[in-house]
Amino acid sequence: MAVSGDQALVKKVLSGDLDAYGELVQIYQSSVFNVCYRVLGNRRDAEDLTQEAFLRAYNNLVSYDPGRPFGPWMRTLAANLCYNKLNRRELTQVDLEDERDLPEKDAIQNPEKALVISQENHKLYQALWNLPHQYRIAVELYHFQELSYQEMAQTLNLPLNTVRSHLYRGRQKLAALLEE
Amino acid sequence: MVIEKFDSNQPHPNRDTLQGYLDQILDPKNSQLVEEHLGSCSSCQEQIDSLEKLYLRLDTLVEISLNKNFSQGVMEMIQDQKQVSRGITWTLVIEAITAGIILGVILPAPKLSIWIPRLVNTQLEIQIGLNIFLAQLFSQWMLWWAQLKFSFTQFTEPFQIPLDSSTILPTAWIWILLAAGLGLLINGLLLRINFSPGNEN
Repeated sequence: MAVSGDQALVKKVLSGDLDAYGELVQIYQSSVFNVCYRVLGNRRDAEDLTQEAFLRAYNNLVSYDPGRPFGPWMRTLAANLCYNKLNRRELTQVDLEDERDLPEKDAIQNPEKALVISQENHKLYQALWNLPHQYRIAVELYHFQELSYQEMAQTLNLPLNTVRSHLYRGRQKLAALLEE
Repeated sequence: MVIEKFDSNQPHPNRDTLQGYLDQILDPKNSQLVEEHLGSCSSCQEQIDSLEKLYLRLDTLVEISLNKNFSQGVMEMIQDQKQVSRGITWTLVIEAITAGIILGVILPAPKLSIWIPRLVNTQLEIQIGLNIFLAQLFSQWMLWWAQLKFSFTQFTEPFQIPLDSSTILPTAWIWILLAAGLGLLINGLLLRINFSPGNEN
């Protein structure tokens, strides 16, 4: 969806058209869910957080700058929610091995719909989820959301040096985990 | 962003400089110095290679499929929230009017309290009535406070936004209610003094 299309939808939402927000949710639900899934590491929490993120975004739509694309704003909001959740340690207790095998289970249970997750992909997810959450969120924001160091610091409300250090350590640990 | 400049007096660029080089945020001169160093330092080159490889691998991560449509759920939550918000507004309006009446009529009541027993007849009924009203007011106030506290946490957390007019207004009304409650309490005490056995005429 083009940025101008997003802006038009946001404008409609702000003037009271709730269906327009439904369209925005449909456009971005998958990418927002994947942010939550990468950061939280289990589907149930990722789904809850995705829903919560869209609700909060609706309530704070007035603070959204229409000059910027909606998608990155939405995904950053979701990432920040996940980060706060991890800080509060409010994750659902799940059988981690079961949950973390989920992409492969999807492929078995819903072969038409689910993506076939390669071994390489699976290993990447496992490595990401094994990072301490501060490092994981730094990797998420830099590599997947393409935020600058300054934007990351602002989003996470952390000093710039801390963010830089988290990113560096996260990358080092991730590289080490992938080489194992 | 300030990243320590790498110069030929240092044995190796520090980690921030290496990371900055890879993220292409160093100034051209610094970047060139790092590049020259990498040509002659296998240890730093190894670090860079490992990170570059990681970047490439992260680019290949395939997103997982989503089997759930969130839009309907989100829309329902928004509708529910709007209904609650409408209810809250009306309750606030009614309570504010009540608070205004209480503040305007009952609070300056040391003299009025002399009239009230004649209308109601017994002191006991007044006290019971006042106690019930105070209890209701207090429970309403507690409920509002809890709801506001919840909404502050929910809505301000991801943005760290300061309180704005939409949140200050209900807070002000709660203070009016609190003042009204205190007014009632004072009034109740005054009534108690006025109608204690020694004072009753």
